Amino acid sequence: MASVRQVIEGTRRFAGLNARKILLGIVLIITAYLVIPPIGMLLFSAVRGTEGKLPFEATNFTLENLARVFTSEITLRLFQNTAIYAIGAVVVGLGIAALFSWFLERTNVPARKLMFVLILAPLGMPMIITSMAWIQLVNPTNGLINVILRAIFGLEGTGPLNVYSMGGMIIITGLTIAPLIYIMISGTFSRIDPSIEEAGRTSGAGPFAVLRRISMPLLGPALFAAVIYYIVIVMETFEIPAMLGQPKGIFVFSSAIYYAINPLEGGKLSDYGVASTYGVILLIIAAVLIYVYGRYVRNADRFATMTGKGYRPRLIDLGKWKYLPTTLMSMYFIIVVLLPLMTLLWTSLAPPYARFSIATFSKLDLDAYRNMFQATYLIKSVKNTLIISTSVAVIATFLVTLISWLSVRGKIAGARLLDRLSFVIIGVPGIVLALVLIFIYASMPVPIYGTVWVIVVAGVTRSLPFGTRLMSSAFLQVHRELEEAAATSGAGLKTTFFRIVMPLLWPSFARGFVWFFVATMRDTTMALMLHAAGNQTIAVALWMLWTEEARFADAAAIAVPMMIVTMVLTYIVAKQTMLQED
Amino acid sequence: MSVTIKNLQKTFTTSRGLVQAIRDLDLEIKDGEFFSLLGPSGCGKTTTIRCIAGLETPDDGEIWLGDQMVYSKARNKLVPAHQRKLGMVFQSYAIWPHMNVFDNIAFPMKHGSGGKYTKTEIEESVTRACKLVQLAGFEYRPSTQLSGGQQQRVALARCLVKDPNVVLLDEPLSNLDAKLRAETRVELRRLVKSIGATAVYVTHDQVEAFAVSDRIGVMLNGELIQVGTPQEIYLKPQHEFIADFVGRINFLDGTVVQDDNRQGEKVVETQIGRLASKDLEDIPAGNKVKIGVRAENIKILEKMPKDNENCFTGVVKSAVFLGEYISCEVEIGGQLIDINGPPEHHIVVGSEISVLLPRDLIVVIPCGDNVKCEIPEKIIRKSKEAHRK
Repeated sequence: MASVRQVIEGTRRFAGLNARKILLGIVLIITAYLVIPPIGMLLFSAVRGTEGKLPFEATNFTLENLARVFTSEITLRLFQNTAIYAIGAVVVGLGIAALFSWFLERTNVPARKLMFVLILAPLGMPMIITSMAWIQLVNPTNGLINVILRAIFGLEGTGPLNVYSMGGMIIITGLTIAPLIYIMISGTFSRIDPSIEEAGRTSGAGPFAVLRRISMPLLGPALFAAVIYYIVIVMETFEIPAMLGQPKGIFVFSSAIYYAINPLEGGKLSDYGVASTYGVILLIIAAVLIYVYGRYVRNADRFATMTGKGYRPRLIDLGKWKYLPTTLMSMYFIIVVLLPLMTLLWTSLAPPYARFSIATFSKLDLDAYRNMFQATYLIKSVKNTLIISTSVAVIATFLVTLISWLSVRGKIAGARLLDRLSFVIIGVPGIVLALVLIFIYASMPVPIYGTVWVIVVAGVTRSLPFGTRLMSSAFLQVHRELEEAAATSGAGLKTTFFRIVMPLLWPSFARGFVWFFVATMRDTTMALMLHAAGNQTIAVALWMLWTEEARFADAAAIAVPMMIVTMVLTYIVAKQTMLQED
Repeated sequence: MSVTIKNLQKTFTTSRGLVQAIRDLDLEIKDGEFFSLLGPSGCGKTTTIRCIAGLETPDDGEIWLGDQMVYSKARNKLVPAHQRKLGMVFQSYAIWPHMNVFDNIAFPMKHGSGGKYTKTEIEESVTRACKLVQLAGFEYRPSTQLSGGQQQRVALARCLVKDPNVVLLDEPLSNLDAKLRAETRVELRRLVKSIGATAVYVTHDQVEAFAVSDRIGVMLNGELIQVGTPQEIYLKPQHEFIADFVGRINFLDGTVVQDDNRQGEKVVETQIGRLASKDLEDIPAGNKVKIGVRAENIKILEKMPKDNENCFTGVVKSAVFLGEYISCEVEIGGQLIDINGPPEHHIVVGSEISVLLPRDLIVVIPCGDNVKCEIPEKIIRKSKEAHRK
């Protein structure tokens, strides 16, 4: 007997069912808006613009850009440089990371916890600051290390080391990304079932044979996956190639894109067409590598070696060698964190171009720091950075939480699409994304070009792939039935989200927030590409002071506190992440 | 409150293509009945209970809770899970780790009822629910510090706190150890009966289903293949699969014939000989049947009796002493038959023994050779008739 009231109730209930679908629709539209136009625009602009014109200003389609790029020897050089740089840096980084993983996960290294702190500390160092410090240390004319080496060996002139070189770029990048690779692979080291290795030992193989014949083949897939993944990451890095390579004319795709838009020769116009074509090339390489990575990771699961049973593997006793790892890891910390920090501190305090000596100590002053508090541009930059980082963190955290929730729990059509959509942007390097955002917002009637908000859009878009992975794995750890129990208890979508999902995932949520905040703060690439009069960030201010105005002391005075803030914040997130995975 | 399911269909898309999880499911569970869905994993029993709960949306059919329609494809009606006013216990218990026992149990009243309960009402109900499941005094314990059995009881208290008319129990005991499981299932039935709720219970354990249920529905490949009381399911399985699923059983292929030696009484001609059974009246002579004899129902005889109906002689091929019984394989007429002999018997491998297959305990499955793949219409109709009575 359907009374009127029941009918009305029925309609209302039917609407209630759709709450999840409506939410999915909204999130899908937002994600699609962030992801699809950039990729479309990139392909469009590659066959569109000519020198000095934005893609929509140009009137014709042309293959000229493609022709120019693919017939040019410069392109071949860029391929070579990018390949050598990316592979070299990853090999260096992986070597360090694998060694440290083995030390920390498989041997009885002393002071394990402290070592852990030391090697994760460099994670948060902005690459622009690392580059600045190493220029101070190893530039061929007055780099501190070169000065010392020359004094010891009685050399004349410049050198012997030169940071402005492919070797310099590779080593410094490798040192910088080692902790990131460590996070990715150390779990694999700790998850090898010790009985697999013990079976090798009882079969008569020595420790070295076990390492070579059993442990390494087991680790192989995970290490290879890490190599592929980080080649993509290094290919995208801009700061180090720009600051260390450009002075000697060594370009990779990422820096070539920047300098096509911001030509070094005065009076030359921005070449958007060539920049876009480089962007397409970078996009294709990244997409192929990510695809290979995806396939490989899936296959790597086959070696289900390693599903943990909750025990720690038996640790290898290093005996009298046990202080060697400690020494190596401490040295790593000194080289990668302490030395740059001290160098920049010195630069910020010393008079311009002063060589390091006892005599100079009396001339140290705090002028650079005093300037800092008077410079209005800097106050503005700090404000912008805080607005941008906070906005990105808030928006990205909410967006990726919703995306992950809907795609992990959703059995409704579109959930899968949402997941794919948020991941596909991983193939678009930051510098390429920024490039197309220039095109989009310089042409579209959305008035955010040149404001902080265009950088926020860029930041949120870039956060999607990593963020959804972080949150999805968090959701997968929460049993579906915990949410379903709320539904059968009578709680609707909103109550379930705020009473059950949020409290359970609070740690991941907070971690994601801090990570997005600090990653945005550190980012130089996109902020620099998108910068205009009113929206410059601290990183951009640093870049300008260093590369264009050569005010090294002022730049260093900004770099020191920034480096400490980003390092501490990143360390907190990284440690929480590793602890949770343990 | 009764639960009525009409022509329910549910298909899942998996990486291997479409899987029909539920097909043509019709079922009526009576008010106050304790009903079990029994079947192997993947048979669709959990999907069925989740459709009743509103956690899955079927493709077609109707679901009624009492006289309220909660799902109908034809009328485009779907009441979401949180408005169906039922209670559910999940396989994982789904105890919220960020809440203590009290908050877990109070949740349906606090956040699942549109705020219609006062604080005192909630406190009273939670206290009562705790007492009911013997958790009094544990109210403020963090839920992460509970044992498996305690978690199970919190889940049950949370399910019962609002006195639901229908409770859904999805393998609620499968995470408990064997001894606790046996104790808890009796308790569970008592509790649900005490509040007068209709229970739908999902399990893959036939002993558990026998112990708790008023009636059992056996599912296979998404279909409900038999509905009946526990005794009916055990004694008169209408499908080879059910006979096999419930206990250890020997199958023999046979044909129904009229035995001229016994005034034309129908018997089954099998490869070990002729078998008499009380369940042959409905089956015309000439039909193929499957005969099932449970290992525990076969009797070992001291000597061959005079009236040797259903008695056979065979050679012991193996005998393993298992304490409760001796598990033997006896070769009769070229066929190995599993027999559970009494533990005090001395059974020698290689010796000859006589056995009796009691005519009242012989299972006759009248569906020819292809029972495994297809269930003839007749059986479904028969099972429906049985449950309508």
